[in-house]
Amino acid sequence: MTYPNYPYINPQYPQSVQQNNGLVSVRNEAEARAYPIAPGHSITFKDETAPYIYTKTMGFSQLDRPLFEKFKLIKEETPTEPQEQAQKSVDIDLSVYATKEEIKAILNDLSAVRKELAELKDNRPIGGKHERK
Amino acid sequence: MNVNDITTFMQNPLAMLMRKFNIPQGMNNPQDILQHLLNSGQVSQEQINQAMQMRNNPFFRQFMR
Repeated sequence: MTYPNYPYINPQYPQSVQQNNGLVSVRNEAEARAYPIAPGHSITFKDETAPYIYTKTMGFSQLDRPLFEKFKLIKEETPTEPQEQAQKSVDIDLSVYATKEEIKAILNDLSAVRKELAELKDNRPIGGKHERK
Repeated sequence: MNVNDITTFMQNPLAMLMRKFNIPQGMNNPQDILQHLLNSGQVSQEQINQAMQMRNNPFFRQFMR
């Protein structure tokens, strides 16, 4: 029997990206289900074609059937509520509020009126009705 | 491994490997053979992971027939 001459495999072969961070990449659910697993081990799979994560766990007893679980990945959108709230605070109608300058002017007017009142009190005798009699 | 073993291996390599790894007769599905090797502790999960990784690697795929 003759065997064809296979090319020499360089030991520095390209590193595969199939298994990263403890996740085994699979093409579909069937591949994950068929993946051989040792007793007492658990493997997490990431589906390359669909947003799913699978876990396959084998108990220590060889008689037990492996437990297969499927999880759907749902992308969480970035929350936009804080921005909306910030916009709402900007949209407040400022025309109904008085400014500090306006309040100061009113206070000045008020103090002027009080002064005039005090002067009037000083000039007029108290209980003028009785004096007229 | 003696001369007889080598002769047997050259005549039927698969049978020789099946005998060496105590694979039950009639078990010819690669998936079942792998599971048997794992269950009997002859290979580790890490070795299986490496083998599966190599099988899916395009670099090694070119050598598979």
